[in-house]
Amino acid sequence: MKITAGLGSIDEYVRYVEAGADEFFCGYVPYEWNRKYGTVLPLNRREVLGVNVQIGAESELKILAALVKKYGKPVHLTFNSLYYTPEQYPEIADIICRCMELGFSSFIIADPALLIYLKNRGISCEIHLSGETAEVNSRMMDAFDRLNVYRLIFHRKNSFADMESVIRHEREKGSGGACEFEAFVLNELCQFSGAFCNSLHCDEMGYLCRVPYRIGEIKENSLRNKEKEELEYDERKYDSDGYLCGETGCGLCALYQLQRVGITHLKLVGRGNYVDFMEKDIRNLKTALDILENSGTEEEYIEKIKRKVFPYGCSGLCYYRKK
Amino acid sequence: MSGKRELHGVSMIPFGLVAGFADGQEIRVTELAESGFCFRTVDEIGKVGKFRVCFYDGLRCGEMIGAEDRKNETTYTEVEIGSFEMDARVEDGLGIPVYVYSVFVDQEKYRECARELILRYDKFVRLKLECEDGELAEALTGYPAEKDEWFAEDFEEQKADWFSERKAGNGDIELAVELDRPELYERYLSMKFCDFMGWYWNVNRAEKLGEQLPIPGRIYVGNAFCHLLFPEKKILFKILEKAESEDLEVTITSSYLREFMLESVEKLLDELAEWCKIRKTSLEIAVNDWGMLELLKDRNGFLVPCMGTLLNKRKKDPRMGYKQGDTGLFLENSLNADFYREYLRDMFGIQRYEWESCGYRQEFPEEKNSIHVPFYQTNTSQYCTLYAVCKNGERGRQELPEDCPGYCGEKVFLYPKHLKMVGRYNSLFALDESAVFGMMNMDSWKEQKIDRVVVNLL
Repeated sequence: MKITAGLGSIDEYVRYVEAGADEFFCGYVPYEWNRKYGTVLPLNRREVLGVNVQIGAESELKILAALVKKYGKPVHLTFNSLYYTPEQYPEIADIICRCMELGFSSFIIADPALLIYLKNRGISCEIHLSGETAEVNSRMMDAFDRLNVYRLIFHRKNSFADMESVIRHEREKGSGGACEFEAFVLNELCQFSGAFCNSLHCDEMGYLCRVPYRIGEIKENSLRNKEKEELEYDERKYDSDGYLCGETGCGLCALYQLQRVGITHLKLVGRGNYVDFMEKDIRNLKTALDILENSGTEEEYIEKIKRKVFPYGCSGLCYYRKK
Repeated sequence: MSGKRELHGVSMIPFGLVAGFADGQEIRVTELAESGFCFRTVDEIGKVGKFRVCFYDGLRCGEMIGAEDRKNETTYTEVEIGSFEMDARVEDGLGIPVYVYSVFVDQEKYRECARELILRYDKFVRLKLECEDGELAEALTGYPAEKDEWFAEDFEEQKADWFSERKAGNGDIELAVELDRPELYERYLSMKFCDFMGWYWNVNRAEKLGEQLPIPGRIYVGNAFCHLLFPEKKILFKILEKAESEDLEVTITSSYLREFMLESVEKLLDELAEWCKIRKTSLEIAVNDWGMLELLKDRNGFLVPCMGTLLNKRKKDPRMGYKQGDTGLFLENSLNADFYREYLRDMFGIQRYEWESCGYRQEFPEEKNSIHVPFYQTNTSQYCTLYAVCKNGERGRQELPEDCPGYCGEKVFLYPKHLKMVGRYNSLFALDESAVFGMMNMDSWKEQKIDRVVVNLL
């Protein structure tokens, strides 16, 4: 399985390659788009202007293309907003064509209408169906295979059995189905699902899902609150820089199963995160993959990964929670 | 190339805040100072005739705040620079040699914009690092962060607050009510529909609203957001039969389909198609899953697909009033594109679109359109957040619920009163207050190309 890491700036490319990343994904939003649409109708799911989460400017894309040429680690560009407006489709198609001229050929897309538009326009590129698209099932993939999906990115909340079944279904189609399958494995385990998250993500306000809330009754005193499970905080879990692998979401224990069900790429989210931490994430994921290669059983793998990466325990925020 | 002169500026201010052009070439300002800026390129550029630097005007603290101001904020001030000095050097730090240019500018407008942006960016970074989300929003938008501390005691009190004093208009547009959970399925089956509606308005503390609305002519059965709240097959057919006897139209609402559900759903669709065939009728299915659209393709005729709310994407948020930028851009979504609706009609036979009233004006296409009132969904998780809290003690400790005991029958997530939102089952919903008192304003709905109002008081 290959490591697909988020890239917030071209300055990080070589550092992440040296840490073990096999490929990258990043956003490019031209100035003209920002000027017209700001963060009201963003071009991708990093819906902010005030944080370095996009590859800024076409001149930077050109440098990135040269880096890809030299180091051989491809970069996929994200155009994965959940929807666009009618006037935007031709504009996006033009941006994609321009990116293709610069040497980028693979695009992460979530809006079905954009896929239809690109097909209607005859724009032939490598499409990665975003993990923000919708619920994933075999029949859903039948619908999207008509739109030439090359890689399916599973959303964050899947079981191994469901992923295995979808991958089998696609492989049975041969060239008519998706060829590659990507799963989330580190960071940003959102409490809600990307495809169904319609609230604002912007500079000026936090996420709606993080607004303070309380667990309450439908009617007064209809049910006594259950005791909240005490979650263990142990500062030894963190290194001297305050880093804990998978602090905001982790699927490292699941690599054995992900490989077994046919996952080909592992998504490491973190555009805009602290660069040192991203580098450590990549190194830890690489270590986990090495351990996986040398483990005969799932139990052996998990025992080793816990000893090596989580000697004092993990965050407990599991992408693939064991029953 | 001349020797290196220093700018002593701020490095790597995001491109969204300061963009640039060297003649026609879009460039990334890698360092910004009052006396100039830097950028880099992979190929050497020769002579530049003119630079254009674009400074973002948003993210202002404490200079608030009318809606019109907010709307106008997210533009850029563009400064053209024809007179400058430029140094170039080659650097290797990125892993390949790149040309780094320092541009020295002596122009008052540029200096003013650069200084102002650097200060604003500095304030923004401090807010991000030092403040809670609410405080940041308060500083930037006037959001009332202190009100985030005010909660209702329970959901019943919250509903009384929302519905008890509302007045509705009159009209004859088609009215429907959503039965979206076991409690409502059972209650509907246990009494005449008109009695059920009386109970429904009362239990939701919306008696006054109920007095002013006619008895609905259609029920929606099923839950768009949680696959576990769909009725058991036996109950579903009982509801269909009772609705038939009461001369009620029915739309069945299906949620997302997990892979393991496909087989059982296919069987159910076959049985529903057979049910329709015997009665020489058809049933609408509000679809919230692309796989479901595929399944229905083979059963068109008896089962008529409508595009459900989970597939009909749009930005929705109870804090929309504080959003900066041209919020008029929210008017349309992908379904306003003719090519998209044509595809949906030709490929899947979509004949109706389900929309939600979400607190701002929407432009609906020339189609059959239903509007769901007065709540709109903002977030949904297939791994139920309420289940996670009740079972594992924390909302982030999630898993796919199996044998769910139905925590949502007793519990909700309460949110600060001023936001008028609630966490119900696996989703967050917010209230569109204007849709409470405007629920049956037929002229207004008709004007907006809506021909059906679907009520769900959660």
